[in-house]
Order: sequence, then structure tokens, then C-alpha cells
Amino acid sequence: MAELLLSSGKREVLLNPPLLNAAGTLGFAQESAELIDLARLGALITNPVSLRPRSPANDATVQPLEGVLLLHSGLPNAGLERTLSRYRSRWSALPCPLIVHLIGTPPELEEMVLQLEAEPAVSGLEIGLEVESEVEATARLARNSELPVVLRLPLDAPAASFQRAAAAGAQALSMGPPRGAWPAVAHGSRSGRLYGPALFPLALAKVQQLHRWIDVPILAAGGIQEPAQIEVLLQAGAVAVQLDYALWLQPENLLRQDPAQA
Amino acid sequence: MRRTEGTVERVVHEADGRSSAWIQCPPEAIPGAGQATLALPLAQPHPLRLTLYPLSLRAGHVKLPVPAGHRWQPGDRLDLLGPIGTGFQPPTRSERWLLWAYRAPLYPLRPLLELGLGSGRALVVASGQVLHGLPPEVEVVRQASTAIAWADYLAICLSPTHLAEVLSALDPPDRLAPLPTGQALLYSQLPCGFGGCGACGLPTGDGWRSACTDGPVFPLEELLGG
Repeated sequence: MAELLLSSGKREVLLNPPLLNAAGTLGFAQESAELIDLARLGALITNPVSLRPRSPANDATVQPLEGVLLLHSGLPNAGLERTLSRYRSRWSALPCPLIVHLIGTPPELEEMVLQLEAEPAVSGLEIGLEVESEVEATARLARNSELPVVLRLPLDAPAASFQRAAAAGAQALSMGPPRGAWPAVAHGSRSGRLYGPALFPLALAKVQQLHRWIDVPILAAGGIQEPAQIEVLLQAGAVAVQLDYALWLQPENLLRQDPAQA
Repeated sequence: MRRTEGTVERVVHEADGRSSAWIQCPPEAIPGAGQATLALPLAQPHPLRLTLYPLSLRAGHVKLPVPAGHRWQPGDRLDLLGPIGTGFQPPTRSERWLLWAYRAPLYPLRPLLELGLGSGRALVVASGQVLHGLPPEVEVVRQASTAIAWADYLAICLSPTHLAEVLSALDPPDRLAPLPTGQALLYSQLPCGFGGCGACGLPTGDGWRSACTDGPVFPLEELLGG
């Protein structure tokens, strides 16, 4: 499994092994230390951070379904300023590089990127993009950043959106969870992000498609439960892989002692 | 919080028709009353770790409910993550305990029942459900409001979605009597157990908290402040 060097042209981060967690799975720093040896990750990606604090969703949902987990949390976080004051020293002590995952509008993202460029413990950024119309603006922002930036689009976004992001200057692209909905117990429905093994065929097909059409590094994600699936995604053209909630179960199955055997 | 392994020692068929199981596990894995254990059955994989609260506690053993749809058998192994979060801590001088299951199961309060009975406390259980297998010395009421003024310790089990209802019932604008010292177990699924996913976040009087790391048992004072 080859290591991955992500570079902005000004700064770079080496992901060795090219295995990362997906944003929203391991918290903001070492919260998972009792369960996971973070040194076995190529980098830790934080939970989403917004410019201003975000409260938990009133209708937070955890709905295990056949092959899929529907999760809605509201992406709670303390906002950038408090996140920095709370975690800055812990980030310095991490045994792997740190990538901060950002969410927000292009002007909010621009402000956060500038602040994070001055943080020595931050090796890179991932920007979660959910509004199609902001693909170009966000990709330009990523291109101008001193830090390496990965742009994350939902797995089910059209390949054309990934192409537009690449054409606008995205340095690397990753695949975020698609959204779905499920009938609520009482009435209406609950919506949220989808994870789980049922997504793996979609993830693999997307990597194969993007590898043919796009000339920027692709970080694959979606439904990975077994080491063989990591290998398949890398062979299909992904340069790195993000693991999601399988890390909460038996992470040693995915993060072997010797990364070459993972 | 540690990750350990437990073994199903005995499956028990409870009076209410449900099953529970005595699990043998290392002492450090045994949760306190109100603390959760996240269990992954190795014989019958589940997409998420199961969030389970103890029914009963003994040295080297914990009794956990067997979730619906699961068939556990003696010898089955469980990958355990826990104890998760903080549990109930009744005041040592309290004598009259009110245990209130508000539109939630009573079972997470069972270890408090054992503790209270074993230490000579007077116990009242409030629940809208039909309850089975309670000792005769425990009084059961349908409405908690009839016993709140009597109690000097209140332990509640409720879903976070009912938190606002419970808080407004406990603290109406015309309330005259002070509330007893109280704690609330916010009964919900804890997907990761270490504050990694944010799915168990909830607002309190001092910003938001994660049920898995800051709870799942919270002081009533803190919740009422919100």
C-alpha cells in the first residue's frame, strides 16, 4: 500500500499508510485512544468544524437498517475559536498528521482557512461541500490555500460535480456519505447521513468512474468493512481510503500493525 | 472506558417475558448503575455496538438485557466497550428514593433498586407501564407527581426526546416545593461511546454535552439550567 503525499505547492502532508478516518467518526483529537491506535492512521480527520458553534440536532437520529446506518447529529461543534483553544495542545501531541474538516459558506470557509494556516499542528484541511452551486468557489479557495486541501463531495453527487471541482483547481477529492431518509416511528420521516456496507458497491463504482475522468487524487470512502475492500478501492484508482463507523467495532481488523498488510 | 471481552454465563427469562444474561467479565468492565456498556456479540454480528445498561451487578459479573431479535447462549463471547460515561450517585444521606421511568424502560434503574433495598431506603417506582418482578416493599405509582414532594432523591430514566416534557413537569412556573436532589439517565443509543460521532449530543444549561462522555446520567440541576 503506497503512501500518499498531498501537496498544495507550498506545504505538504505525507499520509502513510494512506488510510484515514472519515470526518465525524473519531471526534476532534484523541477521544478514540482507548479503541484505536491513531499511529496506524495516515492522518486523523477531525469532526466537522464550523466558524460559529453548532448545537446538536433536536431530532438526532441513530437508525441501524439492513446494510445501512442512518445518522443525524446536526454536526455539533464548538466553533473554530473554541475548537482551537480546546484542542490546539492535544493536536500537537497526536501520533499522526492532523487534517481539520471544515463546513460553512465560502466566506466562512475562507476565514477559517486563513486562521488554520497559522496553526502549526494542522497539516491539511478537508472541506465538506454539500451545495452544488458552491463547487467552483470552494475549489478556488482550496487551490489558493497554503495547506493541502481535500474537497469532499457526497458519494452520490454526479461525476460532473467532481469534474467541475477538479477543473476549478481542487487538489484532491474525497467522497462523503450520501443523505437518505427513513419513516419515523410516530409520523413523518427522519433524514441523515448514510453509512454501511450497502454503500461499498456505489463507492467502488464511483472510484472507477472518477479514475477514468479526473486527474486529481481521489480519496475513497463508503461502506468499507474489510481489508480486502481497501485493496480493491486502491486498485481501482483511489490514492487513499477513509474508514467510517467500522472503526467503532473492531478497528484492528482494518488497521493492522504492519500497514503493508492492511 | 476499556475494551474487554465478556462471556455469557447464564441466560435468564424474566417475569416480563424478556431475556437477560449474566456476563462474566473483568472487574474494570463492570458498569455502575446508569453507566452503559457497548456490546458487540461475536457470534451474531450487529451493525453497531449494542448500547446496554446493567440490570444487576455482582463481583466479576454484570446482568445485561438480551436485545430483541438476539439469541444469546451460554459460552457466547461479547466484545465489550465500557463502562461508558458517568452513572447514578445517590446522596449518601438520602432515605426516600423515587425512581421514575418516563416513557422509557425501567430496567436501567434496576441496579438502583437493588442498591436502595440493600441499604434500607424507602423506594417508590413511577411508571406508566405494567411492571413485573418488583419486590413487595417497593411501592408503584402511575404518576411521579404524587411522590415528588415525598422523595429526597429522584432518579429518572427518559429518552432525550422527552427531556423538555419532563423538565417542564418538574419545574412548572407555579412550583412551590423545592425539588429533591435528582439525576436523569438520558436513555439513547451511543453509537461510538467515546464522543467521536456527536450523535448523542444534547443541550444543557452550560452549552451542549455528549451523553456518552458527559452523561448518560446528568444532574437535574444541570438539565433544568438549560
